[in-house]
Amino acid sequence: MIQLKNICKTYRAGPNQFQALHGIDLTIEKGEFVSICGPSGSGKTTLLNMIGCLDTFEAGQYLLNDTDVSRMRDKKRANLRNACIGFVLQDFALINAQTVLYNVMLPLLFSKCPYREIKKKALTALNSVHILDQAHKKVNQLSGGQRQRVAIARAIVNHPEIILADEPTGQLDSETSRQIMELLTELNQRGITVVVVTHDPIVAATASRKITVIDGRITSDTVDVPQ
Amino acid sequence: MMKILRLISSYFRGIRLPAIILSCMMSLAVFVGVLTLSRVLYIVHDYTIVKHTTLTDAYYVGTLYTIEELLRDPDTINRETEAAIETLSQTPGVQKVYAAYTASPLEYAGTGISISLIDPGLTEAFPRLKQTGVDFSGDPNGCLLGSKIFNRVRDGGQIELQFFMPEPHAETFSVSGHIRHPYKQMIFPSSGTTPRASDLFAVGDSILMQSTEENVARLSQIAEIQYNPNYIVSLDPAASEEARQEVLQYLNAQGLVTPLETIIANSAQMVAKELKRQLPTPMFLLISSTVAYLSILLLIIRKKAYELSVYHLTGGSKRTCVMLVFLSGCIIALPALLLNTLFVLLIPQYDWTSNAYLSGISVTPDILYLVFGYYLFTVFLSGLVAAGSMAKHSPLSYLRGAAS
Repeated sequence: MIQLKNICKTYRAGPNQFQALHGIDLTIEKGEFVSICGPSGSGKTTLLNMIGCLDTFEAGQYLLNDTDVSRMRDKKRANLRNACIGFVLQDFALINAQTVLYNVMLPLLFSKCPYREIKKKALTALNSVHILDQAHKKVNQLSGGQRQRVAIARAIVNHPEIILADEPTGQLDSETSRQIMELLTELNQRGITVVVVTHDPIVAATASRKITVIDGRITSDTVDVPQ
Repeated sequence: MMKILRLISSYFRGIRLPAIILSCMMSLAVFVGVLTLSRVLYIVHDYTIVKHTTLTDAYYVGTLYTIEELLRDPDTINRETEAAIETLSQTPGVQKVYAAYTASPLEYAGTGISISLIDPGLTEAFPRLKQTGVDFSGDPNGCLLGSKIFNRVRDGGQIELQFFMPEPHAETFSVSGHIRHPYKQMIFPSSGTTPRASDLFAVGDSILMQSTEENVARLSQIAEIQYNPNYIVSLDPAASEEARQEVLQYLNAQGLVTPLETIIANSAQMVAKELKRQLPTPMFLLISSTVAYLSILLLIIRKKAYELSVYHLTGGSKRTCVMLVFLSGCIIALPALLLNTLFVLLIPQYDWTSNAYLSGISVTPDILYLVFGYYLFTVFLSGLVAAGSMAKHSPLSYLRGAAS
């Protein structure tokens, strides 16, 4: 379960400062599929980075599965990120010069998984997103859709509880976008909490809960009631 | 461990060529530094020993004979030298005469060698000799081995030498130790009008012994013993000025007389000149390679910044990313350390005297201070660069930059 209480985040650049998040209160239960929408610069990505333990905040409290992450040191946050969170980003965040297999192995290299099991687990993850045949190709040889599948495989290889996706279909055509969202939905149905940041209303509609962020504040938070 | 190796191996992907070029450049720079330091040590070796003498009023007496004259009539010159030394030893005003002898002919394992005999008091007069391995405190009648050809003979063991007088036969001597590279022996081989410390030393396939009564008695039965025609005379500090002048007058009649202080001063001038000539090139190379190392490290970090941010995204802490950058710098500098350490350890084991570039050097373990010191310096720089790069730009900023 993700619990954010009165989270504030300010960016400083020399004498200038910009408050990206104003007192965000948010609770996301296990297994939810949440979309976060809003205009550019509204603080969506900043919020996602907070949830993903990639960034720190000045005020407030963040509980992840009842563990207070607020003042954790970088090493512990990294371990938490490795164990519990998978990321799927707009630009895929893959190492293009390396193979697909190596990219998917990365989270396992930072985990406690024994070295001799890493390759097998990575291949299993690739198989689950139907891209096993590309395992030994370099990432820069793949299409956008294939790369995003690799990113998803990397995100799930450590069996995380949460997947955070920032504009996962931003660089993809509509058909590929649909396939990627199907994958994310499939993962959610297996019990993984999925949080998607998106501009795209079609993508947002895939989620069962829609949060709107404007100027660093949550302006709406609606849940689709199943009929 | 395997995981770290995998990460490091992947980190070098795409930067192998610049890393290899940089490693070669650093190895060469350190090698030139090692070679120069070896030459400097060779040059200052003799000067250091003579400079730290305990003798306060001593003179080096060099022969007036030319090399041709020495070769033409060695017996006469030997008798004259012996007579002069005998006379001096009994002269009031003379504290001690330090002379050297050579015993020959003999062979070791088919190679012609000689035995040099030095005065038992020489190591007290020149205490720094002990640091070069010239130390008979364990066995005054033992021998010190002064050549690479004796590398396999262990200290405390025995060595068998082939003599030819009165007929060919073998003799066994106890081994006290080995003289350190470059195996210089203070046996006063040269003279001249402006002698330097190097004129008091010789290098060759030779065994060093003390001219104790026992050794002289034994060797005179089985070899030709010849005086080296040059020697050092130390005057008695308590002698009157008259007695002192008398000795000096006598010495001037024997050969070219040079006070030890003058020899030290001559050597100091030569050493300063050689340092001025030798040092600029290696210093330039070391500075250049360090600047190149820093520059290429920074370029590598720039190139790998996005990759490091992906590591951060997937669970690597900032510290892990810093460690990867740091280790990559250490690995690039490692060949310079290993190759040059190998050079320092191997050179004394082989005979390089026929190699014009590698003769005239003194390779001692002290040189490893330079090799390790430079490596630690580059490791420090690598750490600074790694920590600084992460402090300046967080991994998140690279991900954000890539996304925008």
